[in-house]
Amino acid sequence: MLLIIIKRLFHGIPVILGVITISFILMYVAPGDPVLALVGDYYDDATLDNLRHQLGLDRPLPVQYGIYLQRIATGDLGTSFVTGRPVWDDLAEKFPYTLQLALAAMLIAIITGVLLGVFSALKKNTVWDKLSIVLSLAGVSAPVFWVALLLILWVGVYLQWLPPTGYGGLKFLVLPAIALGARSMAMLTRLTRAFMLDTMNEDYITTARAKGLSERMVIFKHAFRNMAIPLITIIGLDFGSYVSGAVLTESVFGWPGVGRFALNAIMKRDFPAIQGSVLFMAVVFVMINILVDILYAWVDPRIRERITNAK
Amino acid sequence: MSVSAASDFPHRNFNFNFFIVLFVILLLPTCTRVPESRQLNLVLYGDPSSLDPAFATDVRTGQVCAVLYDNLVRFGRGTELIPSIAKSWGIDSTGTLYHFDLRSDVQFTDGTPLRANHVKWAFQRLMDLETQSHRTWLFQNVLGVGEFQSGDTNEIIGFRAKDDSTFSIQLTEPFAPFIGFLAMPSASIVSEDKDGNLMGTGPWILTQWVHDGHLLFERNDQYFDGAPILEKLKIRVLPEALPRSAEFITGYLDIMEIPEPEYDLWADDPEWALYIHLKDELNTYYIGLNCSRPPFDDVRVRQAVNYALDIPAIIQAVNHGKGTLAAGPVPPGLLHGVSPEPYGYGPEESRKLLREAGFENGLDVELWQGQAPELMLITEAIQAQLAEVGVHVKIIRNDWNMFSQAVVQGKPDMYYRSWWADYPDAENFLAPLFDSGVSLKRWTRYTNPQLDEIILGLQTETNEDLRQKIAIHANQILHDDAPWIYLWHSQTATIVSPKLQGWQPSLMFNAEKYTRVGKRVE
Repeated sequence: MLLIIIKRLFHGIPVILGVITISFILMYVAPGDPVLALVGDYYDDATLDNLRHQLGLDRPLPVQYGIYLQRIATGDLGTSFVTGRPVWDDLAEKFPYTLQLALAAMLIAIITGVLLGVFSALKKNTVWDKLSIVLSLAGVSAPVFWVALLLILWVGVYLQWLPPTGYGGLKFLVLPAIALGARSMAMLTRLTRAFMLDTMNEDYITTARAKGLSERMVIFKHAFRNMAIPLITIIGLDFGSYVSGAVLTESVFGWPGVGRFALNAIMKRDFPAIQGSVLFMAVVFVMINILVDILYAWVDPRIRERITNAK
Repeated sequence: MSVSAASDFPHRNFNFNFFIVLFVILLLPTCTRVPESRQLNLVLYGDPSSLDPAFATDVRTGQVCAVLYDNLVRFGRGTELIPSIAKSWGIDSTGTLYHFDLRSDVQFTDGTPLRANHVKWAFQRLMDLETQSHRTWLFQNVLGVGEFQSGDTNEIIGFRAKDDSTFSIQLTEPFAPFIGFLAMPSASIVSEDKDGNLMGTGPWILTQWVHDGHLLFERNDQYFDGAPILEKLKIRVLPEALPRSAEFITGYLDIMEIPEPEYDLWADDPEWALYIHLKDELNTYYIGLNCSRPPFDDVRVRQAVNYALDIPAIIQAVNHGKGTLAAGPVPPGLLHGVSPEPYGYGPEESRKLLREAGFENGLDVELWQGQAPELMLITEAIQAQLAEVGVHVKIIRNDWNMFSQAVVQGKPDMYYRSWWADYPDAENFLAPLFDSGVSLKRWTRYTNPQLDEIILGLQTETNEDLRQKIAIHANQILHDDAPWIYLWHSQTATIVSPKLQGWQPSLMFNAEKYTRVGKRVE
């Protein structure tokens, strides 16, 4: 297993290097001027020149790239042009919020999605099944900001069950987590339903039942093992995108996470903050992919064997 | 695939109870949030970029600095300057020497009494190139700044602390708007505590800052102008309009600027309408016209596009009728109400001028704007009305940074923008926009040596009556030469919680310190 991890980590290096280079080039090619964003409407040419010099923007691009690589190699993500704070400090402050939201969204999506999928399959062709299909279709199709606004209006304002926005405890977490996890929930519902309808008549399920196992044991212990791979794939992909920042959800709910930080950095052409966020997101994505690969190998002995043989 | 197999599912053994209980625990709140009656809850659309006044270049940073720090003088509810750290001040007959008598009861948040040399230190810090402030232009004409910045001297001789409570500033030449500069956020008086952290003398002390989340303050019981009535101040950061409204309705915001699309909803509700405050802002919304190249290098074309727009109709449609028609760049509030006659809607006059300028077959131009979606309503209305007189407009929409860069580079034929007062002086609507040196590099490329002279006169003249006449004259010239399409001076609608007491809108963005605001306890 250790070998698999090392191998996957090694594969991640070119991805990270590619992300660093492409994001650096894109940033400098894209129009916009970070210095103009800093000075506001009052400035003279000397101020602009001084500022460009202080920020190192007057150096040739390859030199700037070299300095950037050197900094990253020492674990320094630079200092934000706008706030003057180390980018790493900002990311470290914001990541716990993002992780909290991502975990909650995933948890809600998994529990609700799987249960709804099982329920839908159990009630196949009934009105409940149809309702669940409509619900999951809506979940896949509805834009996250729209779901978020509906939740704020209905649950936060009309019913006043939960605070409309904010952060700082379970009650603040529920609405953004539902909004963010709605899509995953819908995907998981559809996947589970299809899987259940497909699998539950297999011979090994009949055997399990014949052994006298309870239906819960049959479903969650025997049947679900086969569903693990697609389940992990969906969860891994979605979780990766959630952890690297859910810009829309964070903006609507006033959630102080990584996604908003990255968006603000882009709007203000805060180059170190953009580079830091992109690198951070890339690392998170790569790590989650590695984790998914490890889970594949852990869940499915065939994959484990293939990877071990391939080395 | 055996689809029918589902019907074989035995329902009997499957127990959902465990999951239902788990679900309820997760979804239902464990307790309810109760609005605190001793806390004032405000909102910003974005995080302040810094709490160091040397970097206060945006409105929200300025608003937060206002509650943390004090200035020698500050803005009152309107355009007037009122005492703050300086209990009185005066200007000598040359218009270059300002002296201030400081209060003796002002202290920083660590208890250190504020003395005149603190003021000198704070101003020198702003001007020190090592601070890297973007606001050094504030004191650029103070005597000795050049020598200090080049390292020839270690102090700015124009800042003088005569004794603990007397401070003076010597300018190199008269500059009438200067006193207004002293009320701007970057002219806040700061000091450093024993750990080297910045501190102020303001009515609120920062206790927590979750970036992009909220700022929490406790009241400063030692505040020299009277400690705030409420114990805490919380400023939330919510970029989206609807969540702000949701927080306000549920009682977790006490003051909120009404988003324009929601205005009718609030104003038509008899319960809420009572709590709406309207404020005529010191600003001008305009379309900048690039005067350096055809077609807008011809004053007739510039006047023609001014005549082509039915601006009251746009104000009605887009701003619910809130706002006054602009006739020049300077808001009437800074000219004692004396403004030129607005162009008015005159499509025939417009076509005539276009014909005279040789555009009888119409013309094509680009109108640039920022990203905000609500701007499209305005620019599309302008596009449609200009098309009526044969001016075909292509709208170019970009994010703010790209848009600003394009304007600086002189790319747009036309651009939609607004200008808000940094200090309440007509000069603020003239020099930074129309002085040839600035205009040619950054804005419309309009140049007029006569106007440059007039603006210089406005800056150096110290007699207020004469200044008023000069400003009116400059505004008239700009009305006639029309480097802008003059749109409107906007009106902001703010709604406050019915529980709130003692709050009134202030004209300047950094005037409010929230010390006299209280809450009715039910």
